[in-house]
Amino acid sequence: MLTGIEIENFRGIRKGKVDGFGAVNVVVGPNGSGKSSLLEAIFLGAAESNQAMIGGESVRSVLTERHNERNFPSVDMHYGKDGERVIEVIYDFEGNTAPLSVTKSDIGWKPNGIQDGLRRWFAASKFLDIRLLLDTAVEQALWDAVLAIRADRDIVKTLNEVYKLSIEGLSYSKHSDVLKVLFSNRNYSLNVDDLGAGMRIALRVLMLAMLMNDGALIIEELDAYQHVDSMPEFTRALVAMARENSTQLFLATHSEETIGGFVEAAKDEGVGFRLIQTSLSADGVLETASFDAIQTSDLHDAGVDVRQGG
Amino acid sequence: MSVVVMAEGDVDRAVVQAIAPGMKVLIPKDQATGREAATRRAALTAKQVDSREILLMLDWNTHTEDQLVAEVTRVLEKNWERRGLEPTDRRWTYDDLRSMRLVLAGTPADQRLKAWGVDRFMADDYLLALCLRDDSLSAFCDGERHLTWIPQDAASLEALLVELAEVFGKRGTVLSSSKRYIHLIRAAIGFEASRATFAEVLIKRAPETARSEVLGDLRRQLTGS
Repeated sequence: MLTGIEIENFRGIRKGKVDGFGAVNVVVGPNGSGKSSLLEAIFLGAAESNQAMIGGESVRSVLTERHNERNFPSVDMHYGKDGERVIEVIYDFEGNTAPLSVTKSDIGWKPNGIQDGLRRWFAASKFLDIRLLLDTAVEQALWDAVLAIRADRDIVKTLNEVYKLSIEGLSYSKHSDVLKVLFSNRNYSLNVDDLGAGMRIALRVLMLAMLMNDGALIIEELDAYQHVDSMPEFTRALVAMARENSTQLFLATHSEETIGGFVEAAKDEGVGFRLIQTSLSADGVLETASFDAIQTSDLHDAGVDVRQGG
Repeated sequence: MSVVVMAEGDVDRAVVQAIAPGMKVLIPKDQATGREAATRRAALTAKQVDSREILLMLDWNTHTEDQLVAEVTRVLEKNWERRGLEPTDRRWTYDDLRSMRLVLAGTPADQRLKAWGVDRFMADDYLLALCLRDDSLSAFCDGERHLTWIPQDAASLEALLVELAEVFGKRGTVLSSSKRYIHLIRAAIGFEASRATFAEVLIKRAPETARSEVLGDLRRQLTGS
């Protein structure tokens, strides 16, 4: 499990360190406080070996396309857009460290490579941002793997619980290359894209969470398009799947309901929760404060808006 | 980030809001009360990434300053995961930017309260002191014409309270806090809203002289000047 990270010269972060990650990590803070850069820095280790992530999407393209960058590494990834500043990220896995270096033309584990176990952790990790969450290519790429372990049944059950639906099953149409949703109370099927955006996002996240094995599932704006009423069940299902598949969750949010959902889900599932508040100074120093589930609840009950950080 | 106040109870919060309206007072969403809960929550609030100064307002109750400082230090050390914290002028420092300062509510040096058998000191002490002044009592009553009984002056209210305290004393009940006297006053005059509302109205209507003389020390503690 990733327990800490030290970051230098990556995106808006000139320098920063976060300790004490848990199984479920929710990152909060105002816009521009370093949340996304922190999530990307966690995922940067996966970009060392330019593997495919989901479908045609490679790890590196996930990190570049969200910023409209053409190359990896791009000069824009370096603090101050200064390619001469070497990006250094030190990952701490319960005492085992993995130092990553990124220059303007190269990325690599320094000085002696990385342990195989940690390499597998990065290889298993996935990053979902809003672009991928809304991309139908996700289910196109994952459907066969979902069907192979009949995870479709669990997904249907969870979608019915979260959204109070009567879905009977999911079926892939080769003809139209789209996932169909079959309802027990309708005489016709719907394409996945006919569902509301919140449900589509949940479906893609759940499919991926079912297929994870070790590594980190990093999700930005998980709660985009989600109604607050669906968050408790959705977060509970996601945390349960992550626990079963030994997957660490890293999420960024602006939503109090999302924080509350993950706090309760982590308590129920008996997994470690960390709320991580971020703040980025004008000269690029990332400051953070972190709280466990009980402390987060205590602050919330005390009348503190934990999203603000102060 | 402005100063944030974590107070022990509803009356404490109402008093702070009435005398220092610019301060952000945290209003809890639950019913958790007590010194330990307030201190723990203040400690966590102070740790937040963009926190600056947190004011923890506690009642003196029956304690000495040393006892309260020791208790707060113990809770802070646990929640800040530090050892050997030493306050300076009731201020504990988390780092260069973040700190927590203790504000103590109540008037343990008030000889009249002591003579009445009060040995638990709290924010209600200020309310009782305002009720026992002609200027603030009449300002309060002027705006509350619907009350069932309007005391003629502070002396008549004081006489009533002393008499009631004797009656209770004979039945073995000691009025050991000004909170109990405030209960009696509210019952006697027929003020039906909460003690916190009573505090808010009483302080807001009090003339500046009375506010300054009764609440000046607390205001100085809150503002640090």
